[in-house]
Amino acid sequence: MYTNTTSVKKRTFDAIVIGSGISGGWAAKEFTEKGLKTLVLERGRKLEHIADYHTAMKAPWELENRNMHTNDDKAHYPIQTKCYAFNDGTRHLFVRDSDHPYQETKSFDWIRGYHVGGKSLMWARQTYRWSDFDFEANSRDGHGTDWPIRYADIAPWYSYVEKYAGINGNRDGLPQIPDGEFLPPIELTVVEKHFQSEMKKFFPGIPVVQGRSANLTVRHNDRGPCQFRHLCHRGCPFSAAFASQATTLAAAALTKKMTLRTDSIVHSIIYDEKKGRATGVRVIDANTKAMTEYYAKVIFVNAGTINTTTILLNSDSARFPKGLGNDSGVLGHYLMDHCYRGRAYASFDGFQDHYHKGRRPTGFYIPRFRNILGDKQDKFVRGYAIGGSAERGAAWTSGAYKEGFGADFKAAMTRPGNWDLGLHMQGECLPHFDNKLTLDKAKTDAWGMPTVNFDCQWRDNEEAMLKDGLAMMQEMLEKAGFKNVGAYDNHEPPGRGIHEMGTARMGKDPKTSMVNGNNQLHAVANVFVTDGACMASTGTQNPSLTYMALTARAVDFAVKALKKKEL
Amino acid sequence: MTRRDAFQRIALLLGGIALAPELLANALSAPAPFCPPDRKRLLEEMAETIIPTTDTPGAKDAGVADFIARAVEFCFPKARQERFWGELNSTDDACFKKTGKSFVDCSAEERIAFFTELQSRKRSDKNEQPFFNTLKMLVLHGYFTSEIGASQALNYDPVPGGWTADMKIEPDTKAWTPVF
Repeated sequence: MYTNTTSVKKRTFDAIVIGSGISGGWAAKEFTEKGLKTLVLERGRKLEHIADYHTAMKAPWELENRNMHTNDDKAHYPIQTKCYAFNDGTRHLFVRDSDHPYQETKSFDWIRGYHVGGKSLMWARQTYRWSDFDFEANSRDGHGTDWPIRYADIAPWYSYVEKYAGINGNRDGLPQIPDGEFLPPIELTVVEKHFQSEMKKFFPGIPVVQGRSANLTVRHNDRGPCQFRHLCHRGCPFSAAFASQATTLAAAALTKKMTLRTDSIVHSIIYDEKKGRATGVRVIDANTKAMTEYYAKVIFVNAGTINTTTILLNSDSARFPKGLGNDSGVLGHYLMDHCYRGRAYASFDGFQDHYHKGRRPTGFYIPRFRNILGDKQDKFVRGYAIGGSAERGAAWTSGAYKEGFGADFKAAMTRPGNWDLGLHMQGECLPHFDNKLTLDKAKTDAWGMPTVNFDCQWRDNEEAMLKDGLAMMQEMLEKAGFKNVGAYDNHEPPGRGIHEMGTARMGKDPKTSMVNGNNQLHAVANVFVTDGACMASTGTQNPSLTYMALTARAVDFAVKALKKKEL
Repeated sequence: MTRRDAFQRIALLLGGIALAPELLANALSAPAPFCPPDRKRLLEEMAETIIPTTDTPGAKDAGVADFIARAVEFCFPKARQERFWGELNSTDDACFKKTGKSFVDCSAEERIAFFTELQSRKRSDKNEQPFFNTLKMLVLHGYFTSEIGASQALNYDPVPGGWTADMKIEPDTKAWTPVF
């Protein structure tokens, strides 16, 4: 008896946070700094800041395969190798697909990293605020359900997380991407500035701004500054790129209130019917496969959109036969991702005596211009942003198809390459009930967990928007005087944007949504979802900053409610 | 989001490798493959002819032949591996036919003459990647990612420490070493 009680006590916390990525890290920091004893559960392995970034300082010749994808990569990482950040220096940060199978009724590229920090290590760090064009979008055109929150609700929380994280950018004064608390911006290259001024001439309503990213351009909160190596995805030994273990988890550890348990796969959330609340979680030890229960007053599910919804769906009970809090039946539905299929490229003949030094972690950004501020499209609703850059690579990288060999060829290959400009569309994706994930209980993984089955596709609005974007990018580049202009559809399936959103969406009405305006399950007041799963629409902006702000805001709400004994 | 662009660019560069099985599907019919060690010298001499020693060391010193052998074995699908070694052999056969010697025994002038002819050879199907281009792609990648190529032939700047958006350069300014 005594041992049992002690054991239960040891496994009891004030708060449990499932996941240690971008949003889980923020939940951990906020809970612990507010004095709550917090258990953070990470399904993957330990990954210490700096100490475990074993490829961070490697030179090109020290990488085993000199950055080429191997046959083994193609066999065991068939999905992960499609991610732009997968390479010889980052392979260890991606899951082996062969160890973590899933089903695809329709193709979905599920990019994952199972280790402390999750995808916060490999993300692209682009950070833009949402505006009311986004929070009001669903109510304005009737697709999806209205967001219960508006920009004014989240704006102070954007400021709060930006001040801590450190975001570089310009104050551009654009209503579609409101200004934030910025560190100095990263200057555009000469060709980008040329593009910017030509755009002003030919498309005055379509501004080109400097990219905003979570890289520290000056020393900030004892981190950084950025050394402009552009190796952020290997883990930044200068702590200048935002990753959970460099920031939020480190802050949480300092409080001594955090217990971080790795190799802990959450099986389900325990629901107590008598109490009408969740009491804890069931955890599978990834190594021994033994199941242990942990208990807390409040549970934050931050496992990353797909895994968050997997846990909720797997938490069935007599009260919730379709998954925890799923009275509405929308859990798993309205899966979304930004549509990055539209790409364009061009070269520029001028500025041959200009170059740049250092490697930037960002570029330029064209915020949404469709169906706002007087623009009205009749073929599609919402809009898209465009990201891009114009830089000179090294001539040798395109040398295989150039004539020649020998001394002169070698000399030519050692020079800077042409100015190349690349653009990519970031299209908003409408919420659609039939875009969904389900659990396949017949096909389980090595830990006995049901596997996810994706049934999700791009639909008419995304296709119509893509057509417009391809034509626009072509026209922009041609008018701006670029050469060899091309625009194409890369036909990638959903998932590759790595902005998977929805499946446990926020809404005002419990009949049509999972969580309320405080990210609290409508039906289970002490369970919160603050990662991408809660999103009721996608906007056009990269979403992580919004997850950070929603998380800090929801923890604030939860802790106040706990103090008032309302949770 | 430039990050994506940068990697896209690298994907394009490596794309030659990813795409090549299709491109090579109808390539030269070649005898049954067999691979190094006796082909290593041939690879070395061919690589050195493409990237010779000048004011900086060339492909041979940079160990490009070893890189190619490894890349072919670990990164090429089986069918393409066989095709590569087969085409290497048949290329040397063609050299023998033209000069009466293996490429490794040819003089510098003979090697240049043979490669000049090889690179002008057109394929019937323009979707095919000729062997010479595959070889060049591997030599360039192997050389410029080697310590010699990356740090001597190019300007290696592992920790730039800052970003200079614009700087003037001379016609002989070396490129920064791409770091992926």
